[in-house]
Amino acid sequence: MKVLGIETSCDETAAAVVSDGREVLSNVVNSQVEFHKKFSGVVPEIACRKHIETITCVLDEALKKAHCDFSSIDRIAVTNRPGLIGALLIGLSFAKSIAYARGIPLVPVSHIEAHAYSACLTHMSLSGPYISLVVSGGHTSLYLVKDFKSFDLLGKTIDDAVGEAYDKVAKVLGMSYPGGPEIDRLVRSYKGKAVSFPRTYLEKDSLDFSFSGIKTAVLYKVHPPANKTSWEKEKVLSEQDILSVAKGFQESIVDVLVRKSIAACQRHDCRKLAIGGGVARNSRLREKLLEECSKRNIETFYPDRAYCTDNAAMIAGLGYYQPPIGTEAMMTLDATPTI
Amino acid sequence: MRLAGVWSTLVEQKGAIGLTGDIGSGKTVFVKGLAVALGMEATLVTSPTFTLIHEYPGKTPLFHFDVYRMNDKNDVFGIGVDEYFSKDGIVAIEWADKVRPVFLKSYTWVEFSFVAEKSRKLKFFGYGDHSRVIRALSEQCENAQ
Repeated sequence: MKVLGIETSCDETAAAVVSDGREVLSNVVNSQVEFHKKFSGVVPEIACRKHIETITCVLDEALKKAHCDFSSIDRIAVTNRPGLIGALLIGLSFAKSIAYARGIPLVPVSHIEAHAYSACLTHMSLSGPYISLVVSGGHTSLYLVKDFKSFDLLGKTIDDAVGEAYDKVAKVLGMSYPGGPEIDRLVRSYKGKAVSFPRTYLEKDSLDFSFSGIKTAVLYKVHPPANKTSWEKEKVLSEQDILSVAKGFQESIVDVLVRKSIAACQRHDCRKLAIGGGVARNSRLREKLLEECSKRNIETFYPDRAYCTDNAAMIAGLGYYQPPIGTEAMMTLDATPTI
Repeated sequence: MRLAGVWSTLVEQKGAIGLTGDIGSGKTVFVKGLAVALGMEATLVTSPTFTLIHEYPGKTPLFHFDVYRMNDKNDVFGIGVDEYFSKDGIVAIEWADKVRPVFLKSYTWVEFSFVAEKSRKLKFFGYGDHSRVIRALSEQCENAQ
């Protein structure tokens, strides 16, 4: 079965064709990074306008690369939650009209659950039950994936997402946007000492995350309070100081992610841990997970780089396993900004 | 003055609230307080820096914006901020100083600054109909003394 996936929940306009949930025939992402770079972030007005401008080209490209047309598409999967409502609606309306016009069944998919699924595109035989850690700029969640029809949310961040903490700390340290990969890159070649920062585990047994405390701790380390209202005015840190703060920050974050992921595996007696989302590319997280998981006989699964960041292949992949909705339900299907 | 009084006063007023202050000054935590005053779970409220808007449904819904990654008012209009203003709920916008022109006649403005590691100073301003928020808050202050 060939599933066409469409994704427009945030910055990326994406379309993909995936066969039987696993084999990626095409995966086209029109990254808006070039547009966003000069504004140091996502500019939603540009994001929404670009989705409209590019979605037909992205779709054509995805069909062409997969050597197929609408007649060989058996199903359409589309992200309808969570995300920016204006952006989601563009992809959803687009998918609905194709589905209706061509009589192709439609299945709505959750963007975050698709990240929890994404490792399955790279590891063809990976199946539930497994634990999935989804780490990105907007989300930090732990799921128990039993089958691909329902995902049990075990824990999530109660304040900042991990990628957001990375980017804000990078900003405090005077690095450029996006700061997450920059911290990872700089710390990788740094062998010196690390500043010790607290780890936030919340209540005992909690699988929720909190990263706003570490963000503030870094802030105070860099700019001790002396009735200042702005922290960015002073830049007196040496390069060495910056590296030791960055390393300490990363160690703290990674420790928490690793410990909670392993706790989730142990609690649900799972020997498989999948990681998804943009922060899955972080080299220290990978290294530490490998080290700690192999001690406990837990196998780790990562998606290819292309499936870590937002893409439509994961939407098409997961859409294969989830039930399509009827024509009537399709008419009333709406985008939901929250999970 | 206890912040619970501030939150319940703001929740009663409804409408737009602009929050401004540096990273870690307590803007998101303040929105958690608003959610609790609306009878919602505090853990529901997370930072929308990347996701831009979080909507928390309820009898009085709470719309939580973060314009940290935006440049000016055009970007916020691009995600339909005016539509949210016309809903019967609360619109709380973090980093509001970047997009101050989007605020209409009536709104509350809160400035956060650092005093010490676990201490923050909050300054409240009320415009239009929201000037009564400030009056209510001053009365609460006097009664507390």
